Amino acid sequence: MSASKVVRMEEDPVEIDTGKVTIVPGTMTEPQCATFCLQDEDHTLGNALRWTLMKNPEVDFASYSIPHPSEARTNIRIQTSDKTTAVEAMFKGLDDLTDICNHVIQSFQTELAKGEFEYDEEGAF
Amino acid sequence: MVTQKDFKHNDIETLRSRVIVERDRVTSTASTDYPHNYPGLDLAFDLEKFKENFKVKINRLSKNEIEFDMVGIDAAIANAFRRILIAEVPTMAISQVFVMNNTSVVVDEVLAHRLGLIPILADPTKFDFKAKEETSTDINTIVLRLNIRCKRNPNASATETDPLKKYIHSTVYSGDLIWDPKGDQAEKFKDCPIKPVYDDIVIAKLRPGQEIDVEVHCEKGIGQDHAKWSPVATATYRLLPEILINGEIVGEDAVKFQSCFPEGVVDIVEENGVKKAKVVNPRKDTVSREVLRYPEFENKVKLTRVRDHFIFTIESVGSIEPQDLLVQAVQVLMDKCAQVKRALQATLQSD
Repeated sequence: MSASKVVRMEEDPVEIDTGKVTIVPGTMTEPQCATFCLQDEDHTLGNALRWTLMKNPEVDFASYSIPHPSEARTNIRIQTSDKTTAVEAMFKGLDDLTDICNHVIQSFQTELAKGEFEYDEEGAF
Repeated sequence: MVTQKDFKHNDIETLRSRVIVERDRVTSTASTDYPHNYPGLDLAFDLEKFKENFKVKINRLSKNEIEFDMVGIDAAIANAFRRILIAEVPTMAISQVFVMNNTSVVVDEVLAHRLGLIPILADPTKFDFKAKEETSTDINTIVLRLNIRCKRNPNASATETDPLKKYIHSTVYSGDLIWDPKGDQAEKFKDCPIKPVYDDIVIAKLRPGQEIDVEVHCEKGIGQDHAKWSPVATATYRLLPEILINGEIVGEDAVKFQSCFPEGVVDIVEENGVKKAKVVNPRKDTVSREVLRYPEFENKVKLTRVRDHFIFTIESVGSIEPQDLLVQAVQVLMDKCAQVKRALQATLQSD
């Protein structure tokens, strides 16, 4: 599996929606803390990203919330130690999550190629 | 893959890596393996460590279903995959129905809804999403036609009572939808012509003189907008069950112990003429907790689930092959990350 096949979006020129991610006004009192607001995201990305953020030892606090169920947005709060910044931690969290995804695809496809499983055309479990 | 752990009462390692199933509650449910949580354990994310621990094992595959184990990943991410499978992997589905004529007993809006739910066999990666204001083109729309008129069957005997024999086209099936290729679609999809996944889905029933004449447009969409775009019938995971026995369970107790679990979970082995219960396949356990009801097994058995061992079952609706579904779902998550990253960079630059 080549990595280039997996990273599909990087190849296409994509319009950047600047409203997609904003920093909630007044939440970045210093570079070490910020609340990011992700438009049109939910628990899917919110919780996965929260996990990778919390796995970063320089992150003191990371959490996500959906302020209102009828508004399609997710807030992610990050507070870090002095060694990094909230924005840097956010980028690292996203990169780690991408790395995990890449490896999941690779492992799955390697496993599929091995063909060491029961195959039954009509089988319903 | 999973080493059987010793029976100890809730030591740190058990609390960290297992969900504990008790008689009337489930404890230790949340994952706690974050940095600074356990003295002496470095739990910071490390890609190499992750790669070492992570395993995928496909157990079964069929035309519509796949079952595989995914080990060494957190529920937050496994659940993201599951959620994306249900709601965010795109497929093609009928979203516009133009009714030329409908004299059947099924009213237009019900007919349109029934048509919408028919899974369409078309590779969604070869199509674009159609924005609301965009016009239909061969790159974002598939056109199908349904033109059926019911007639009497001239060859049927006068006493025939079975509508299927008495009339022609008394039942309208999904297979009656005829693809009308536009642009270069005929060339592009000549190896896999576009059609409903199943030809035998009943759309409506007609009687002589009744007619359905509609043109339908399929568009690309995601399950979040409407369930008809969901590529899966079900996408679920469960954690691998684990049954721990303290000491030995022998004699009649062993037989009773065995009967507390589904077939194949516990075996009885004879050692020097003594029956002894042995857990052989905890995967088959439904975790009914029956065994925890009996006083004779108190403190002799402990039920847990392995927190990072997910047994995924994905059942495809038929439009995307089951083995492709997970890959597509993970790609959707990667796309999300890339999109957020780009948007954050843009936001930072504009500030």
